This record gives sequence, C-alpha cells and structure tokens, in this order.
Amino acid sequence: MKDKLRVGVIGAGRWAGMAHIPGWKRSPLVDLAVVCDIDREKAEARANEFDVPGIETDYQKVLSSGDIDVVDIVTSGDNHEPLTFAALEAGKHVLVEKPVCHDYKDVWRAHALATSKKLKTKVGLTFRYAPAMQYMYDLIQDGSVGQPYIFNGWEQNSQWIDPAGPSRFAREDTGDAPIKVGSLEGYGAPTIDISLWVVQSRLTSVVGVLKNFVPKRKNPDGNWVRTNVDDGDIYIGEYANGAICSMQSSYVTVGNYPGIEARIYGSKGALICRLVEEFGECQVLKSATPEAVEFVPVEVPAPYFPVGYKKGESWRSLFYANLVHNFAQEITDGGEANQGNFAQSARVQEIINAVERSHRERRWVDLPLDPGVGD
Amino acid sequence: MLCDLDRGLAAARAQQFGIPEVETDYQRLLSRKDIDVVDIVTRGTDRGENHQELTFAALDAGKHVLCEKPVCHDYRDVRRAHQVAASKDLKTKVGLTFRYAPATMYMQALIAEGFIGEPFIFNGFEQNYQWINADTPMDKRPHKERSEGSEIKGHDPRPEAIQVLSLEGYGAPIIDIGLMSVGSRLERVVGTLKNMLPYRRRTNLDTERERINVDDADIFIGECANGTLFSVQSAYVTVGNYPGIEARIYGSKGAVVCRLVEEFGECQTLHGAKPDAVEFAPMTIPDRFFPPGYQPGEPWPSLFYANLVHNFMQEIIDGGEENQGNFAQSATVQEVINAVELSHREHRWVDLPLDGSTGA
Repeated sequence: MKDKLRVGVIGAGRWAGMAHIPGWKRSPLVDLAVVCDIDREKAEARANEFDVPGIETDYQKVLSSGDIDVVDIVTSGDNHEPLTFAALEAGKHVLVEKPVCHDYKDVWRAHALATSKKLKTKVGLTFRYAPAMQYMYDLIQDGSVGQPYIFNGWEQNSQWIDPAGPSRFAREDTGDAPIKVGSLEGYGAPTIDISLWVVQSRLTSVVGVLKNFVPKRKNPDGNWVRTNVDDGDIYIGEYANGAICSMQSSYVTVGNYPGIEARIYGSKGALICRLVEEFGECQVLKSATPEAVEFVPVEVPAPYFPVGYKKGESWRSLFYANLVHNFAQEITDGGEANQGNFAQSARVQEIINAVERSHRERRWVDLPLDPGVGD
Repeated sequence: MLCDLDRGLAAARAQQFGIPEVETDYQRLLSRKDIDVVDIVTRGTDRGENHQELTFAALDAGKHVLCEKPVCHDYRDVRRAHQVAASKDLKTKVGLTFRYAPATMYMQALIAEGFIGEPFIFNGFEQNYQWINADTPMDKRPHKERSEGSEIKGHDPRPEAIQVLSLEGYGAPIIDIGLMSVGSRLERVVGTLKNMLPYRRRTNLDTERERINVDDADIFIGECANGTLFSVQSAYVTVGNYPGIEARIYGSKGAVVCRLVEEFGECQTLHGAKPDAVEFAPMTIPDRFFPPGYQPGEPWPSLFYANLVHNFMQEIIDGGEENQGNFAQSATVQEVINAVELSHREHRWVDLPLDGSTGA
C-alpha cells in the first residue's frame, strides 16, 4: 500500500487556486500528482505556483491513470455531472464542487454508483468544515442546545449588487421566461446542508419564494439584458422532529463573504455561528443558555484547525484545508465515516428542487419529493 | 389619575409616582371632563382581555387613547376603532414599543434618507425565553384560588387548532417595524405556528402539566407590494435576552441591522454596511432620538416607552396629521397576524387584504 493518496485536480481556475490546491498541498496524507485543465497555460501556471509535478489537458488521461486515487472536480462549466460519473466509473474517490447534478435523483444515482464500488465521495459544502461550524456541531451532539426548536440560516453576499458589474448570470437574455434558480443553488446549498446536519432531522415540508431584485444586467459584451434569475430567496420548513427553519440566500445583499450565519435555538440553549469576514475575523461562535441568556463568544479549540493554521488566514484556504484533509482521512481510515458525501448533497439538492417547485406552484411542498428515491 | 380595580394597587402606584388621584371605576375616569388622554394598560380579567371594550368606551367619551396590544383580536374591530377615533378627531396610539427605541427611530431616519436604496429583504425577530421551562405556568399571575369559568386556552390538541399566542404577543411590534421599514404593504403571507412545549402547568396552583396547544414559536414569510421579501419569527421559548428584537433590512444601496437585545449593559445596537464598505460597522445614534432626561444605562422599558408617550403628547399638542403607530397601523399589523393564522390553519399562502379589496 502506498503511504499517501495521489490526487488529480480537474479545473485550474480561481477557486482551485484559492481553496482546493492549497488544501491538498497542506494535507500530510496527500500527494497532489496532477493538475488538469483544457487550457494548458492555466494548468501549467497552477502547477508552477504550487509545485505540482503533473500537467494534463485531457481529463480522460487523469481518469485512466492507474496511480491516481482521488479526483477533484473543480471546473467552472456545467459539466460536473458527466465528469463525476466518469470518475466513479474509473474507480476514483471523488470530490466535486456543487452542484453535482441539478436534479437530486441524479445525485442519488451517483451516490449508489460510488457505494457499489466502495468509493468515498465529497461535495464542496465548504462551510460545514469551518472550525467554528465543526465545533458547533460537536457542541450540539454533546447536548448543548437540547431538543432543537428553530434553525435560521443565511448565505448572503453583495457579489452582483451592481447591475452594471460583470456577472456570470448575465450570459443570455432570459426574455419573459420564468425565473431560473440561481442563488438558491449556488449559495443556498452549503447552509441547507448545515441546516440538515445540525438539526439532525429531515425536512417534511417547505415553502419558499424566489425573487429577481435586479431585473436587468450588463452582459460581458456591454449590452443590457433581461436576467430573470433568482438573486434572493427565502423559504421556511418543518422538520420531522418538530423543529422549524428559515433559510435565506442572496447575492445582491450587502455584506462580506462568505456571508454564512447559522442559528439554532433549543430547549437547553442556543448557538450562533457567523462566518462573515469582518475586521479580521472570519468566524464567530456564540452561545447562550436559559441561565445565562446574553450571548457570549465561545473559543474554538485548536484541534478544529487544519495543519499549518496561521491566525488571520483567509477563510478560503482555512475551511477548504479542513474539507480536503477530512476527505483524505476518511479514505485513509477506510471506515464508514463520510460526511458531506453525495447522499447528503442529494438531500440538499432535493430541498432546492422542492423550494423551486414550491415557488412555481405557490404552495407548501412535502418531502420526500418521490418516496421511492433516497433514504 | 390612576385607576385599577384593586384600590390597594392603584394607591401604591399613585404614591410611588406622586399622582394626586386614585380611582377604581374606569367609567368615572372616562366621564371626567378634565382628562384628555386615556392610557389602557390592563392585563385583562379572568374572562379574558378587555382592551377592546375599554378602547371603544374611551373613544366614545372623547378621549385620545393609548392602548396596549392587542387592541382587538380581529383586525376589523381595530379598523372600526380607528374609524371612530378619526370621526371624532381623536389621536390613537398602540403599545408598539420597539418602533420608539432610539436605534429603531434612527434606522427609520436612515432608510428615509436613502441609506439602503430600494429595499430587497426584511428579516424580523422578536424572541425571548420567558416560558422555556415547562414548569413556568402559562398564566404567570399568582393565583390564590382556582377561578371558575375562565377561558381555557389551547384545549384543542390538533396542530391546525393551535391558538395564536407568541405571534400576537411578541410578533406584533416587529411586524410593525417591518412594514414601516419596507414602506409597503404585504400582499401575501405563508407561515407556520408551532407548539414546542406541548405540556405545561396552567397556573401556580397546578402541580401537573397539561396539554396546552398554543403557538410558542412561529415563522412566516411574505411578499410586499413593492417587491420586498419579508420574514418574521417570534418565540417565547428561545434562549436570548429581552426584548429580543432584531430588524435587518437589505437594499440596493446598503443594509442596516438594528438589534434591541440587552447584552452586557447595552440594550440597542445599530450596524450599517454599504456595497463599498461591506463589513457591518456600529453606528452612533444621534442625541435627538433620545427622550428628555435620558441617562446612559437606563433600562429599555422606560427608555423606549418615554419616547412613545412623549411622541404621542407631541402629536396631540401639535394638532397636525401626524399619528404614527396609531390604530390604523395596528389594524394593518393585526390583519397580518390574522392572515398568518389562516395560512397556518389551511397550510397555504394567504393573500392580503383579507377582505379581497385592493388595500386600505
């Protein structure tokens, strides 16, 4: 058996350079073997920057390589689904950026394929791996909040608040077509994941609204186009265990990145985790109890931080270092543990699909959407 | 003049605050020609609340009226009360306390000046932990003996039969602030009322818990006529200090978060952010939003209420059109509460106005 996992990264863009590649380089369990991009120059530049030995432009070559154990899919296009299935077919453990597939049923199919081949999977649900969020989860497991009553989640930023600013949501004129899911899938997913994870129950019913606050945007050619895409949304939900939740996502709301907030109120206490970079802090955890109702900061213990952590480190590399190292540990340990995998991503995607339906039909939508699919 | 059914209580309060006269019969108070304003702050009797009855009587007697919420449980009755007041040129005010917090008033001034631009999303919360312990009696008054024939709250255990409580008692002020902040009416709402602690002692005389099906936590979302998204959450079983208000508004040009939660000696904070300065920074509340005689560290109940009653006095003395937080506004808030209740019972979106007209 090899001492280290050999990893191939497909996609050498911005997010790969900021989060994925630095994370792999930091994990003592990993050898980052190859960077692949259809643009050779991009792949070369990243490989030079991070001292990665291999460069590739054809992902098929990465997948057919016998000495690659893990494939990390961080492409910017809408090709996560075919790449994921191809990587699993090739017998690789897979980390993929969200969304894995737009339809939750396809994510379940991918999960079933991985399970049948005893492969581990992980999705870029970055924010559950923030040290503060991982610690919050452990505090909840230890009974800090008691029986959960209410969860409130936000993921917000002001990335596209300027209608004239460049936007990846302004590629084509939507005309009068019905609103398309945008923010809910792109930004809502990580907090929806957290909402299921910390409440430890499934949602039985959701109702929500998708809004388009900025109806016209300047496209990359400098023309104003109608962009009927969800740039702000809210839904509420009811859990099987009796808790209720609200979830909000938006990319036209003023505030800093990553703009995550998760609040949980229960019979024995409340916890608030805020991942918003403000004045040099990218994560704050606070708690209160019935005996001490004023929220006080909770210090996150050292074991929750990744190898090589330095105070003031950017959340982009900090959270992802935890994510990829956790994946490497899960694979190396060979046990059952596999948090934030395709099954969890499928549950998240099912909620996104349910909220979309709830908006289109203006009603509560019950979950599961199809009792024959999923757990 | 101070009036209470319990002469001892009225006398003690009058002495505490140096008030010359004491009365036990509100009818005698209402018939006094030298009283201009009546303030109704009763807790209700064993038969239920009496705000509605007292309000109509005071208006009929030609008094300006300040009344604690709820004025009436049905928004249509509040609107009737507003019409009576308007027909007699009387001013009204409801105990929507938190719109009078200096931080809330400054928030409204900032919105009016264009700080947030076009509003996109409002999130409101009013939460406290008053009944988080199931042994805390539902009725917290110390009873010496069991009263007969009193209204049994929450006796029907079916989820759809849940009785509105937190939404009306705690939701009202934050709904008020939300509507004021977005400057538009709600066109539709959908929400859920929950009973997180189903078994609870009814009074201090009870040793056993019983099933009391009341809303102790709720969330609703809504869409406003101007396109704003709206969410409100209220609960009295959620850990956190009083008054537990938070109002967040996000718009095209900025965002403001107002928090009225007493923590470490501060009862109000206001934070703002702009697209070119996205980290929320504390904002200093100008002196003009504080009441006469303000002392730093003053408790929030007297601070906020001092602004409320002083504002009412100004509105009456000025004699103009100004009358914020009046019965008309309270009726609008109550209509939202009634709509959310209907939305819960029927598990669906409910359009506003409830009577199907095009709006008040």
